[in-house]
Amino acid sequence: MYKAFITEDEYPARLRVKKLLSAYSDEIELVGESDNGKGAIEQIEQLRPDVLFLDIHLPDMTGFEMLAKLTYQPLVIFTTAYEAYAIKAFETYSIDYLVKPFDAQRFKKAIEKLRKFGQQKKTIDYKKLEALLVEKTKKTVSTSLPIKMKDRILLVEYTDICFLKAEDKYVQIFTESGKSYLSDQSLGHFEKSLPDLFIRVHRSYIINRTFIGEIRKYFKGKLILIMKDKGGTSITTGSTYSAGVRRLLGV
Amino acid sequence: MFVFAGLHIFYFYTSKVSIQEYETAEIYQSSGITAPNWSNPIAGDIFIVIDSSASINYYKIASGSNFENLNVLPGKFTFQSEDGKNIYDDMWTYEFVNSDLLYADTLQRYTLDEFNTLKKNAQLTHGFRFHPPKKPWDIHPFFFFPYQLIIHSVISFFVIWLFGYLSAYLPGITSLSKKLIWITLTTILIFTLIEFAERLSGLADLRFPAYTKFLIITLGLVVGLKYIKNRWLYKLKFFDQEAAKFVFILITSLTLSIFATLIQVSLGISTFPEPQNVYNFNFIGKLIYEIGPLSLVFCIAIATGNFLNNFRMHFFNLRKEAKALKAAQKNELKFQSEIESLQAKINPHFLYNSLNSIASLAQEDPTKTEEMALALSNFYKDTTNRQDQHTVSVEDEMNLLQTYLKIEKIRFGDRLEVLFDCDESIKTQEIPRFLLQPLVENAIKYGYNADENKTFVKIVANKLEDKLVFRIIDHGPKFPDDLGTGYGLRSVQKKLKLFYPEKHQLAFINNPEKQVYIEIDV
Repeated sequence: MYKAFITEDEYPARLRVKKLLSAYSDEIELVGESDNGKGAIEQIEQLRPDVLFLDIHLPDMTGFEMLAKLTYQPLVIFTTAYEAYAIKAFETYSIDYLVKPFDAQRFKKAIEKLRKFGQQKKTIDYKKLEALLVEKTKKTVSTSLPIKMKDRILLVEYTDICFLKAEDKYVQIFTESGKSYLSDQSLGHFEKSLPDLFIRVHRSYIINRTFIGEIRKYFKGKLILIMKDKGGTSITTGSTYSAGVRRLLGV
Repeated sequence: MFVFAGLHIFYFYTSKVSIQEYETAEIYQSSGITAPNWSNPIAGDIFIVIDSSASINYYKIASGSNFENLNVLPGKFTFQSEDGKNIYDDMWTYEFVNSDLLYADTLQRYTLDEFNTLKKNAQLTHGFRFHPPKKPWDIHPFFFFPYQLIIHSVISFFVIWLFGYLSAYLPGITSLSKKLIWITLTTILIFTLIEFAERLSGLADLRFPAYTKFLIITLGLVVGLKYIKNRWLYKLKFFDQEAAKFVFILITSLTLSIFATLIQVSLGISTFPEPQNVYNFNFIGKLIYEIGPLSLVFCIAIATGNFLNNFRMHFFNLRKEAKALKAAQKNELKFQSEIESLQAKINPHFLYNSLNSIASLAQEDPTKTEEMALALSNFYKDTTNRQDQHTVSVEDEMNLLQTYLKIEKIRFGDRLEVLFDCDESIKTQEIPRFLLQPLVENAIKYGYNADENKTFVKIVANKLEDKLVFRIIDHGPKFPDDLGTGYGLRSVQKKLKLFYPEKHQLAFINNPEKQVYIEIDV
């Protein structure tokens, strides 16, 4: 007899799992349910179920984080709303995964797997699984730069940003239209988080290479870059950066 | 540049200056009645000219000007021949020669030998040796020196190029005062360079003060044109405007020329070296001479140049307008298609999740199933019925959000709590469709507060001065510094940018209350 516990964010989904499980009441006993990670951990530690029906996306943490916090390792059948998560690794590292909506046939297969592999007691590396998951789902590339200034964050689209200039304690971000924003983050921070379109050309300047209007040669191998913003700002490359910039721009 | 060249050529062919063949002319003091005054040759003094054929002729100074610094400045005076004709109407240089003195009571002709005898006998002492100009074009240096022609042309071209180059880097010389400053500077520059070139070529001439009259005329014209344009011309059609401007420039520049020249002549400044008769002219004569062909050409050049330039600008602007119209039409199409694509993409996950929930609830909880199905239907009824409407009233958007939240409430039960706070005054204000829905969706997704075991969301809409303010508040974990743009945020950004370019603000605030803040300038 397996003791099962449902950790599922949404009420209808919980209801569904419960309904489907009821068909296997002779081998699986439902001992509890929760709609959040914290509550689930508390109950699981107490009730010690053998198998978990676990939603990957819980409101306060991921399913993996929750598992990492448990003192023991139960068997897990993951549930998820996204097909993208259905990677091979799930089959290796867990009993099974179920994609919503759960239909009876698929659920049946999962229970069969449970019967078959339940006794094997494989040690599951959830961290690795989580890492693979994160890998696969990192498709949404951000199109805007978050600019933090005191208590607020503004999002400015990368395609609007012409260049960034480091001032005394702030960095000023200039857009094509001439509008500028101040941020209290450092230029180094932006250098790391900005996409490849942005080049650090000077100790105090990062530019968006799509806004380079003209390139002029200057002394000592430096370049003068005239930007396509409203004011036609010209930026001279710094001595340490000039060689790299020239290589990147093919000058 | 072409004007300069034209003037050069014009004067070269029309002027009646003869080319001197004489190598030297020497002036000696005349009558022995009074002691000779060598510092000041005056009218009446006689001089001897020895020409290349070695014949000696006496000539009397018919008129002259006072000399100071004799060895330095060129003298200006005319010589009268025996038969009373005035000759040598050009500028001759001279030097003070401490040679022998010749006294002559009357006009006499000497042969070269006789002259040399007299000289040897110390009967000729001090005098002035006059050297005619070395080259033909030295006579009218401003107009006949081909090198000067080249220099003037090169300088004009350079200045015009410099002007054009620099003005590309000045953000538009549109204001009148800026135009005047530019014209003044350019003209002074041109004239200074001409002066410089002339001095370099060894011919210094005080023409700078005379050139300023052209500067004054040009400035006067620019101001005058602006004035009449604003007062009278704007009513006329383009060609009439231009014709009127042409006539105005002609008349005004001529008038101003006359006026400026009046002053100039009164001050005794001349633009050109004197021709034969000019100092025999009376005042009116001098005036007409000074105004001369140059001013006329100048005025016509300005009038024509302005006319042609305005034509060019006019057609340029017409083409620009056509281009702008085309671009605007293109933008409108682009706008429409972007809106449509944004509208179509209501987060598909929402529909997916809702249908999942309905499937899940169908057997266990038929009441909730019905509720959800109807709510979903209502939600999409709004979406589909108003396909071509890009904006909705704030009230309608709030109602839509209520419908949306009804669905979400079924999914999350009591865990989700939502409050609305909408100002009555803005309920009819139009905003882009589904502007707020993605933000509310995010608030539900990320707004869970573990301590309260609740997802609390508050939607506030009110007016702040002239701006619409929307705030979506939740009690979840604070926004991270590396906030990315998921689908939802991007559509909100795009809509704000499309509908309110440069007139909106979208900020993610953590303190004092976590919220998404939208400000729209309507």
